[in-house]
Amino acid sequence: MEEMKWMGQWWRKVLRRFKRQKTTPLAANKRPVAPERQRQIYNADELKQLPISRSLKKNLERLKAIFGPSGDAVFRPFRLGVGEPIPAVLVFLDGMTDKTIINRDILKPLILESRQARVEPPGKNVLGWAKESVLTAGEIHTAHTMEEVVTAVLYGAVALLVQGQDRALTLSVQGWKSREIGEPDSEVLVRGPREGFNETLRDNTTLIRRRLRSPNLVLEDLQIGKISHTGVSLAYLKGVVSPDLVLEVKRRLERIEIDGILESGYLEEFIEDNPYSPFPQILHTERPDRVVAALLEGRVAILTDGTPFVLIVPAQIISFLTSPEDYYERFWLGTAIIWLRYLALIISLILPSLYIAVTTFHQGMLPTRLLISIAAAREGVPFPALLEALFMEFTFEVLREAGTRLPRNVGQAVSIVGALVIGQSAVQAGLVSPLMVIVVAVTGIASFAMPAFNFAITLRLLRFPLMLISGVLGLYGLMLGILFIVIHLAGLRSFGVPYLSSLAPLHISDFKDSLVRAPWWAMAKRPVEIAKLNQRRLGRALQPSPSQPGSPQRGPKK
Amino acid sequence: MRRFLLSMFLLLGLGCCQTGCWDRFEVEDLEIVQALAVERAPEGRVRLYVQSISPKHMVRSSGGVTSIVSEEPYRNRSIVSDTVFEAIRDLARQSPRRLFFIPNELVLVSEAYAREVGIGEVLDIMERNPEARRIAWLAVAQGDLAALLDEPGRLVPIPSMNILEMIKRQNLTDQFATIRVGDFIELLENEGTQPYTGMVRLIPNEAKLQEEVDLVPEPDLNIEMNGTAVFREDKMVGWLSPRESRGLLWLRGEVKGGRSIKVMDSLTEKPVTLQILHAKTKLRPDIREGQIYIIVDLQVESRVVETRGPLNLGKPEVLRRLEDEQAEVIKAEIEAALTKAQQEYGVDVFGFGEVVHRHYPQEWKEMKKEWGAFFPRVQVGYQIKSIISRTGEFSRPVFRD
Repeated sequence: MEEMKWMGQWWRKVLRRFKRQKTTPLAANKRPVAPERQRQIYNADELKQLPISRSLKKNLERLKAIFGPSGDAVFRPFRLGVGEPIPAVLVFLDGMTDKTIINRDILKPLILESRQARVEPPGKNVLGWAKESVLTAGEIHTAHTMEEVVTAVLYGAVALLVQGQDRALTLSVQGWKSREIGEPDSEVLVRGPREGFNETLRDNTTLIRRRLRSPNLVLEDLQIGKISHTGVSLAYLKGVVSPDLVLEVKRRLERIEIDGILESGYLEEFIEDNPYSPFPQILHTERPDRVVAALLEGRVAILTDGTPFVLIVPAQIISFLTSPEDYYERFWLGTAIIWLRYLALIISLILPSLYIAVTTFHQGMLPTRLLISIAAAREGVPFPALLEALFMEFTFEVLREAGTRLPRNVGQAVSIVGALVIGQSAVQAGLVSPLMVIVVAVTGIASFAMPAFNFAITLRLLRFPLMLISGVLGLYGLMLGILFIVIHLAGLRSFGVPYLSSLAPLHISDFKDSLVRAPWWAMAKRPVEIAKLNQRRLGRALQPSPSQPGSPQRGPKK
Repeated sequence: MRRFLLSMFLLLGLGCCQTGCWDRFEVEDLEIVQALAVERAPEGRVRLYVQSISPKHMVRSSGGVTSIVSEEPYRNRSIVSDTVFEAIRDLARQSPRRLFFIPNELVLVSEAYAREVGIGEVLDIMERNPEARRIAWLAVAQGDLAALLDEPGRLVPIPSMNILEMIKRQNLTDQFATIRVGDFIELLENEGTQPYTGMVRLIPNEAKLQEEVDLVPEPDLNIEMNGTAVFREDKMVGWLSPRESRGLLWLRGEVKGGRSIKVMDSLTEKPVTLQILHAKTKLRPDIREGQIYIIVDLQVESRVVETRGPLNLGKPEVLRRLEDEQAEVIKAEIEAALTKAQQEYGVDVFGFGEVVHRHYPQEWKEMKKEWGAFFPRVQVGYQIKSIISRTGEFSRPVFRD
């Protein structure tokens, strides 16, 4: 939206002015840079310029300076060979590596077995000899700079440095404790796989790879975070995904310069199309099956190390309103549930506003009996409907927040307090009308029916301005607010794909995913806006039917 | 940025200037008016009655917490003023809340007011005021308005609901013809027809025990819908009896089914009661040699609900006889209404003029000025298709001769 852009520029200008004012007095008494030896802070660029020295002693000193006083850094010196043993050292981080592998596949062959076999290491190419003939560990790389050594060690590799060699070997022996692969708490299904992502990138890529045994599944690795060097993996299906999309995702990810990434939410905010929109433009999920379904549609998944939440781009509004189960249960149920969600979406967005608008401005729109009930319920309530609604919604949000953050066993206490104090006592005390409690409760339940938590939050937030504007302008204001939201949505894009697409711009063939959940045999094509190059995903004439006598068996052509 | 701020400002600013939403009221500050009644007061003034609901008592009484409601869930107020709107505003002297007329569903006018003053003023305000609804029912009241609005209904909490519920079930008897305010106004504006509406009155309650007993006594009076008031312009000029009202409804095509119709088998002289299932009326004009004919094209389908004495309804010829008889009865009802309207009142409540207008627009231009003179001379012909389609669960009655 154009306005949002102006707002962004303005905000940046304000920020700049603010920064300038703040930094000028500090800049005056700049401290002198500390000498190299005392500083002991290394950034990647400096490390890249540090070569590996032929002197093992020098290398060791340097590495000790780099890892400093860290207790988990292990330097294991030993000697290679029998006759003229060559000093060597293993460097690794305790806890990040698998000790069994180090002992069995690295130390044992290097020290014991080579000695027992009386094999002399060749003087010059010790590392090549070790890599090819001695070490039984699977993944071995040769490092040429200190930076490569350090990076590898920091991600759980073992570095082997040998006296007289200006290279080092890094062996991937990662082994740390990670969470079991369990059912994701945030996306529970009745029918569907019980596996969810965990915090380890490699485990997560495995979960995807296992479901898509295709050489066309690409898992591209990136590292983001100047300090954290967080591993980020781009997953897409070659031949289905549009290459422009992959390029765009990569371009957006590569321009991120940040110290550390702790959750995929960091990335999300960097790569969104409209950073000021209240609507999420990127889907996140904990379910590998959902990621694979997205990949098959031609979307790109962004996996981040350290979090089970995988980003899926592009995402349309429909994506936030579907659950994988819609596609696992039979299509009648799927369709009914989709419609139920649309209804819930509308309710959770406008019900309190509608109540305020109708009861304070348009009482004539209510059937007389309902009007009487509302008037009787509101008899003696000291606040106007707007305040009453704001108060109740606020209380509800506080309760929900408290219930989410508190430990599970205390959370029950909160719900009791909420139900009794707010639900009953407030009504008995005459502070709120029972009808308002019902309205708030229905709204709350409707917002729980949203399958995507971040989308439900958006609705929760938008509810408040809508309530205010309905309290001031009535239904007219409510319509104004809804129009504003719809206009905003119509202009919104996620990685170039219109947010409302399949509805606006209209793609009739995509109604199979939006207005109804068509039976699988009828979903012949991928979403129009996403898989632009490779549309068809089913064979032809797949609808099951009894075979006619005399006619050939129906089915895909052989 | 400036453009953004400006557009936001305009959006909100212009939004706030829009009409319609300024008068903000909380629900509990409104006095929900359920019925309005107007009668004549001395010196050319009007007396206005307003019946409004007290939501608190209303909900309690329907909630079933107390069996005997100590306080009635409604409130009647009355005021005398020069005009109707003045009276409405003057009621603010008596009411603690803002009178809210949108839920008002019933407008009563007293017979004297309708006959002598005319209900034009009431209609005018109903149409002019955005808060008044054209869907409210209009009825002419015989007798004391205050008593009509205070009859303890028991079955319904609000007395005016008594009348409303009866009006809504008009098709069960078809003995009165009530219309809504909006329809009345339309009839009034139409040159080819004259308006009419139903009448309400109070009658003594025959079911009341004469001797004193220890029970809560039955109310003394009952409300009854009684025939139809016939108007010339906005002034009431006459009354159609219940039977004549049926004739009016036939001609107006308002018989929807539900009412009973009693016929006498011409051969055995045994009465049979039928219930009308469907009915459809079409009026067709014909002008021949200066004489206006209206042909009533009537289709009626009914079923047998009651017989007195044995009658084999399984025989087609018996049913044919009854069908012919049914047509005769309907014809007689129509004739009764026609005689009254044409000979006595000279008011075209049937909309004949409109029918002529539709089919003979050229001739109508000349006729419409003297339609009052043409109307009594209109001849009516009948084409009645009468069917008895069902005879109930059995064809022969249980009793024998």
